[in-house]
Amino acid sequence: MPRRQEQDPFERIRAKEWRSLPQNVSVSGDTRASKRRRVRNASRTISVALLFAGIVALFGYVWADMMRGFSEEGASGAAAEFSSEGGVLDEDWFRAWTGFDESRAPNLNRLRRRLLEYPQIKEADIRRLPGGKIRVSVRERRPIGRLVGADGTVRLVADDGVIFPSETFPPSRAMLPIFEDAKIARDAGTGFERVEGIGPLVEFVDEARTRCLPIFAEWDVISLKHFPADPNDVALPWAEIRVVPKSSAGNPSHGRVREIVFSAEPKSFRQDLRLLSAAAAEGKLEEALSAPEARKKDYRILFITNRKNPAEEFRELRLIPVPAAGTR
Amino acid sequence: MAQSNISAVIDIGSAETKVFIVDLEPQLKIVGAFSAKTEGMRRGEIFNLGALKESVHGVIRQAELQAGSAGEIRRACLAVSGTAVGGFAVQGVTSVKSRSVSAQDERAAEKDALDVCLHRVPENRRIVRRIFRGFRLDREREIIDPRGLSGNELFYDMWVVDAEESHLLELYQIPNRYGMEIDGLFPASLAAAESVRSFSEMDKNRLVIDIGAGTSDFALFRDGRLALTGVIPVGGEHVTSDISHGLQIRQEDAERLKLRYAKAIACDEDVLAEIDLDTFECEMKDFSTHVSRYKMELIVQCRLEELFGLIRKKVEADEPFSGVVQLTGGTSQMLGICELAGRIFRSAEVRAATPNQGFARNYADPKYATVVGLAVLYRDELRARRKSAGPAGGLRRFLKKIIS
Repeated sequence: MPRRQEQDPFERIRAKEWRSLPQNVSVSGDTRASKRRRVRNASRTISVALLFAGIVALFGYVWADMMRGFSEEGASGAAAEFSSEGGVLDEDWFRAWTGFDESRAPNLNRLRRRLLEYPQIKEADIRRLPGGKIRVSVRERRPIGRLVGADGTVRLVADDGVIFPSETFPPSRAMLPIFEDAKIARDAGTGFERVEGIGPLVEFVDEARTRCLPIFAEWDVISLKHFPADPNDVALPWAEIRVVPKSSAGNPSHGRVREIVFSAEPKSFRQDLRLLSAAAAEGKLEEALSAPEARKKDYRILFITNRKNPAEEFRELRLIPVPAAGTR
Repeated sequence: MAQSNISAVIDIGSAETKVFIVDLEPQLKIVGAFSAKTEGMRRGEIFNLGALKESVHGVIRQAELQAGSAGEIRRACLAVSGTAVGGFAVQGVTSVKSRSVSAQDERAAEKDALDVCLHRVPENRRIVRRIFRGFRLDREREIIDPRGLSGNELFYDMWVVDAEESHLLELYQIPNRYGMEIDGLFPASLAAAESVRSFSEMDKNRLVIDIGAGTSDFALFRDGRLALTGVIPVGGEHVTSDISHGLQIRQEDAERLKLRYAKAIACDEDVLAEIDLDTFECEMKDFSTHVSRYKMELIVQCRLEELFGLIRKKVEADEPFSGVVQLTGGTSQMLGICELAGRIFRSAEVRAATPNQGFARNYADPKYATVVGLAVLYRDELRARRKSAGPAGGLRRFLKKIIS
């Protein structure tokens, strides 16, 4: 048939349909309504573009900041602002310890790791401030006692048991009781040495410091010979804290307290401290020590549990004479 | 609201432009609607494109504002009408290869129909829609699905609606210049017929006449299948002009008189009745203050008789028509118009039909018939497109939705 052609009629019919006519879609703006539409669309496009640009800029800034934070070396350096909660460590120490150089962009992670290598520092927070400045905030460990080595070096024991050097600590603040016979172990994670089972001891020292400061001020040495390394053992009969007060030999009218033996169990040593504090406040202790027959003796203060009436157990303070130091 | 499902449905009539903003998914919903007077168009012909654009853009904008999506809609669906629109029947034929009809035979018949169609569409015209009417086996039996049936020749019947290319290009400019792409184009006659379609009359002979201001579109369905569409360049404006000329009054006064007093059939009891023009503040050419009501009714009747006569001539060109006549469009609300149509078409079943597609009551007005039908046809076409696109199309649509 003459009308038949090679090309598919479906294709040819499509070329003859209304859809094949060209459409020039654009907001011409030649009518009032289309002008308004154009303005609206343009403003929407601009706001979307601005929003997008803003997001890109923000991400760019954060990314650049991150890169600067992780960079080994930067083109520009940064000033540091050091603050310490604890107030012992200062900016000079920070610069000396970390080797911080303002002419080089620091690696913040490495800086943080370096700070935490110092056992006195418990926590460290390093932030980059807008403008490139670095804010370094550290939290120091709180010392509760001292350890004196065989060579006379003094180290401090923090409230979490970590032992740290006392060089940075001012001598006035370092007047803390000396812990003797402490059980020391090395922490596998941090590599720091620490006193084991220190929790109840920290409570004891804090309680003594807050409840009976005048008595605590007289304490020289706290012996941990019978203090258990495992906090679960504090209630065992042998678990005790022995305190050796500063020498009172200078007062010949008094007997001498050689040591005070507290229970290692928190509930009991709280009662013991209360009893001791009350006895000192009421002058009973001084009265007993200044009695003529007591003048030439040394004493040990003991606390025992009175169990005469099982329903009403209570702690008692006992002053036990021991052979005088000179006679031993 | 997912903006990708929102489209504008536009019916640019000679007197009034109606725009619906529709949400196509999950259910067809009108989210914004506006209509206003059209400028720059007369009797279906564009005579001032600038003014037309101005008026249509204004209507679209108002509808968009109502929908709360100003400036966001990118797709539009348009109704095409007027004298530029035409239609013709096409029949393709193939000889059945084996004893019974196969899918291959169907496709061959369709290809032949398309070939015929291509030869019948002139260079300066474009196909607006091809509507499949059915198969015939050996010229006798009308069949929807002939597969497996026996016969020698298989015919493929199709109705093609075409329009002048220049008219379409002018029409395209209107939504295009507002930043909208035309995604659907339907003949106004089909849209109006779709809007008043009822389930009970699906398989009946049905003639739907949409009497607009400048033109009247009609669609004829025989046994539920489209048989014919057409446009008669006569509408309500012609009635108004006739009244204006006949009574020697201004066009706008004639329009007011028509809306107030016009009847499609001149009543004998109105022979002596007169209309006091003073109450209408009409401007007369002579100094008479009253006009005969009967005269006006006669003028209207003559024009409408002419209109229905022209439609009947086209409808009954091949075979006589008997069935339901549905009148819609603004002028269908005129008193006595159904009676007059009944006389002309010799049909007892003539009704003034309103859109019944389940939209709000506000849109159940004959003047919205085209735009309501347009929305429904567009929704159906999109569904069909998605179905034929398959899962790949679904994925593409999903990605598009995410991006948008």
